[in-house]
Amino acid sequence: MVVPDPAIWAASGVDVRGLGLDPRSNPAEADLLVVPERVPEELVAAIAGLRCGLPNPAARRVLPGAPLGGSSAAHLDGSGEIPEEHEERRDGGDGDHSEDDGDEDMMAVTGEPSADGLIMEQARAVVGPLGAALPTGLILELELDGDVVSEAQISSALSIPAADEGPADPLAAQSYEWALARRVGAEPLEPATVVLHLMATELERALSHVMWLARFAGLLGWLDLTERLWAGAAPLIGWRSAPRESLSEIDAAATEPLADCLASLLDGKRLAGRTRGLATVESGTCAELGIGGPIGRAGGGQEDLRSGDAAYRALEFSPVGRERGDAEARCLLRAEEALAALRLANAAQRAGELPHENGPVEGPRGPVAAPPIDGARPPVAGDSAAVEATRALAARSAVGRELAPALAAVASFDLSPWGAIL
Amino acid sequence: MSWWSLAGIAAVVGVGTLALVMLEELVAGQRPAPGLALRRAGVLLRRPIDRPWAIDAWLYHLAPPLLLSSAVLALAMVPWAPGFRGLDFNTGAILFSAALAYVTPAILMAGWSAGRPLSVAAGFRFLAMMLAYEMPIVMAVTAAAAPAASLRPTYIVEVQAAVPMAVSQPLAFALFVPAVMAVAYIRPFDLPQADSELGGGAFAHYSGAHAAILGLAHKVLLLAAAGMTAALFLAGWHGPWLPEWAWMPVKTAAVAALMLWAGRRLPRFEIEGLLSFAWKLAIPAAIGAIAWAGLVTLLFYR
Repeated sequence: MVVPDPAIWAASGVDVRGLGLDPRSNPAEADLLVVPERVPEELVAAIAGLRCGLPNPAARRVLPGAPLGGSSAAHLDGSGEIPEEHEERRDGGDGDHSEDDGDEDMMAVTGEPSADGLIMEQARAVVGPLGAALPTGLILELELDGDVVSEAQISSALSIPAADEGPADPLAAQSYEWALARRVGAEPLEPATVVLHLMATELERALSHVMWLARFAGLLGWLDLTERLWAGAAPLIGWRSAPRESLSEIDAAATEPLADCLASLLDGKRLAGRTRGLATVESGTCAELGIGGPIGRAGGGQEDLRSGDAAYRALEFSPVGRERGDAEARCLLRAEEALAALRLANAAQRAGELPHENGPVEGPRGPVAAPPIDGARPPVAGDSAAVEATRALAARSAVGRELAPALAAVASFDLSPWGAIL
Repeated sequence: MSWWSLAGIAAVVGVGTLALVMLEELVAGQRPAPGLALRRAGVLLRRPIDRPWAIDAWLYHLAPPLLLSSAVLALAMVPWAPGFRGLDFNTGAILFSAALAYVTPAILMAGWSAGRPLSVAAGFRFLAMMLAYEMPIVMAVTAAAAPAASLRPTYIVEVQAAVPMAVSQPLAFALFVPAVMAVAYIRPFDLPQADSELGGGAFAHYSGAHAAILGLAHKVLLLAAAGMTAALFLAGWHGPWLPEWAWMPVKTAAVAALMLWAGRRLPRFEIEGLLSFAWKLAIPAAIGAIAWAGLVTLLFYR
């Protein structure tokens, strides 16, 4: 079991799969729990619960770093022992399902017929905050009517870190750094520095989308695509931990396997069976709710901050868009944007110099805005509205579906576990 | 049935499982490491069985051996060579599908015993899938048995000496392969496990020896599915150049490789689409396959 999910580690430049680890989603199948040195306090209880689920003997390995930010140390005991408050969960009971419920049978029916007229059992399932299907920190609470979702709610176990702890979202860190450098009142950047920022942002966009695609493919059980995406993303992960200046020396040919994989995904039809017509969001809805980024563009929206940016205009950038607004459109759009991001990084490297412009940056999930140069980090209310609206939209898209398409519908939105797109 | 038959079946389980593990690694583009697989099995067997709290103990402990038993029974119906025909019952082809039917209560028991909604949902998913796909299996077997006028697998193999059933009855073959993969929950039909969706599904709470038994049972199911496909539709031990005893392992490996390859290359199917396909397309087509089998039998086998 890897905490946080391998995509977050990739954003920190650590390829956990390259270390020979085979991440599992079920703790009972795992031999090893990998955690970072520091984790947000909000995840400690979930990590301890995960440790309980590992069969004995199990090892715990701490990797240096704090990919999720946060200020708390891991609360797992250094010896790897289970905290006392969780010990009772390991004791085998006598297995009587009715033990806690008195006379109530586990299969007690509610008496209320479900949408198709059958009387089913109501159950509650929680996915996250350390599930494989969703990013670390996101919690999806489902009320199941039989195996159909009757209610869904999405929340997050994570809170925005303090202003001096750096960017919240590890997968938008470079975008945020560039946005900081483009704040109103900041010194203009040197043209060569703009190139490095643009390259870093576009490579980050490619990595974010590829990692999301790999997680989504894993959710769909598509082993081959998951492995190819991880193998293709290895150079991007390596560049994340390299000094910014070395980006001018990168070899574009290293990303050819990834580009081929993305191109074959765009040309193929295998994704359509699970995603076409799923969780359709129209551009009008996105505009009403203030949702931009790939979700808006997948439904026909044209909003992309890069279209009006001088540096991108110099590279002849044109935004990628889709019309249908369903899960398939969001998947294919992110694949196309990842391909375009690799080409843009390559073009910027060849250009050598690009003009500076102030203003927000188009991050992997949408616009990334930095606080004004003389102010603290802005309150999250303004930025969090779009995030909350997206979560509500994703939760609604799960209702009325069987469990598998419900999870795919929610996952297709690439939700941020943070309270704002920062 | 003799003790030699039973010993042979046990040998097939052991050797076949190891071969399948290596084949799976080959299909995944990795170097086969049988030693690693054996060490992993040893680690699992030495690990204590860690039964989580508040689960049904009887069902929890009974499910893995029941699953393994049904898998071994299904494998025992597969004829491997003229000199080694498995149990070779008169109704062996139907007993094969009957043995597979016991996978259902095993998975239901495993899911139910966990007492958590996702595990129970996984169990019932498989029940729905099993009900839908067991019928195409039985109908495809009937179609394959018609020219042989017998449900004995060895007779069905013998009648394919000139033409395999996959050529004379392509529809039955095309229905049998995905149906048997579904009943053996081989990817992309692994709905009862669905690791990424259900966190292990019906088997989420198994560890130690139970996990080893479940893993072994799954491999044996794959072996049985591939072996019976080779026997019923690919002419069994008939073929040029190689000795008779070599053809069934080769054909079984080829079918298993195809199943594993398809499992890696395709996303997991959704239960609604699977059931819709089964009830609306596969079962009517299977009835058509039986009619075709009758016609082929009248024209070419009588």
